[in-house]
Amino acid sequence: MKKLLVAALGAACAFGVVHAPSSNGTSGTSLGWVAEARADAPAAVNTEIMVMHATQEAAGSIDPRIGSMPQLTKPPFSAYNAYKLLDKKIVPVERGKTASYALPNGRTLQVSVEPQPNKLYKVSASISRPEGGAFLKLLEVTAAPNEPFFVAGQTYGKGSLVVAITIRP
Amino acid sequence: MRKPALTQEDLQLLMRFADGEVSAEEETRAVRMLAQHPDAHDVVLETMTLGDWVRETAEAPTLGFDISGAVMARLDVGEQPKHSADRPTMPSPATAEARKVLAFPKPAPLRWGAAVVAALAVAAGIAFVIERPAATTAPVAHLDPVAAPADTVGVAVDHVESPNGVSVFYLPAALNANASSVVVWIDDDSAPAAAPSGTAAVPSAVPSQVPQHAPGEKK
Repeated sequence: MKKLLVAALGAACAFGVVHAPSSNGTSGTSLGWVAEARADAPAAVNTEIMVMHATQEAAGSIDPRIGSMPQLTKPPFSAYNAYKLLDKKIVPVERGKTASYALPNGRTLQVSVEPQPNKLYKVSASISRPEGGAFLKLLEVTAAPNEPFFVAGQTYGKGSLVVAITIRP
Repeated sequence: MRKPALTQEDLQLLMRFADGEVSAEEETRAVRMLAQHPDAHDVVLETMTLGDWVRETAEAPTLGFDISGAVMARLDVGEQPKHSADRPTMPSPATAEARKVLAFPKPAPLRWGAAVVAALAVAAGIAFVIERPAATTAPVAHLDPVAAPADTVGVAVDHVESPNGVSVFYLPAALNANASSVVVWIDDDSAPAAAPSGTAAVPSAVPSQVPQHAPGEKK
């Protein structure tokens, strides 16, 4: 009798898991759906980190190595008229881990990426000072692939650092 | 066996008793009625509550819309025995005797009184919520979900936390694109770092993998 009860309970639990309603209204199992999404997601997400130096010059220019980035001609970037590429790297950020990146001003950028079921990515970033403490304690964004977001404002030389982070799956 | 209902004369006597406007003989009758009749207790208690409220309202400055007043007016119109026309609108506060009598054990469960007290409590609660001043906020050190523009959002800020001032800008990702991108601009109060001289120096960008923070440590 006990075995029968245990079997019935197990079946009921399995039924509940399989038929649990999905939070986004799609069909399928909630746990299974997440599992599928996680199975589809790569172990590491390629994340492009581009560091630019923004200055105000007599003759404005945008480093051709930056590529097409029309945002730089719009506010707030239009406060500067010269952008020079300092570094551009594709960093594979492993799921569940944080990638560290040394910025030219001695600070450290840390990035973690978590793929979401809806083809978006939850990106967390922080910037710590070499002497301790945080310049940016935490930034969390939800980003579509190939859409950059920028962290700017760090004083550097006569201008400012602009860090562009883009998910490149 | 239930006592017969109070007559109009009994009600008037009890109300005058609650207001302290009875003679010695009427007081004796009222006290006897209170001891014997469950409804008498409620009538006196309710009359006293109304009297207290009228006095407080008359003495307190007007504070705009008064929900408790509306509730009490409703009770007065719809559920109260009609007051006599010659009843004074500002009763005497000399109700000590009535209060003393009401302090005796009640012969029946409190019904009207409990309803009035509950209504007052609810009204006071609602009035408190409505008239509560807006909470003041500290200078912006972090931002939680920021409103994005109406068009398709390429990047949405969920949370920003920095000891420095933070500004968040949404801007189109490209001239012909509908998606928006985000700029998080953080004020830098530190001394400017030396820019590379001569040719552009490439920073030492050596990515490394370190264990991620536990979820609870992130915020």
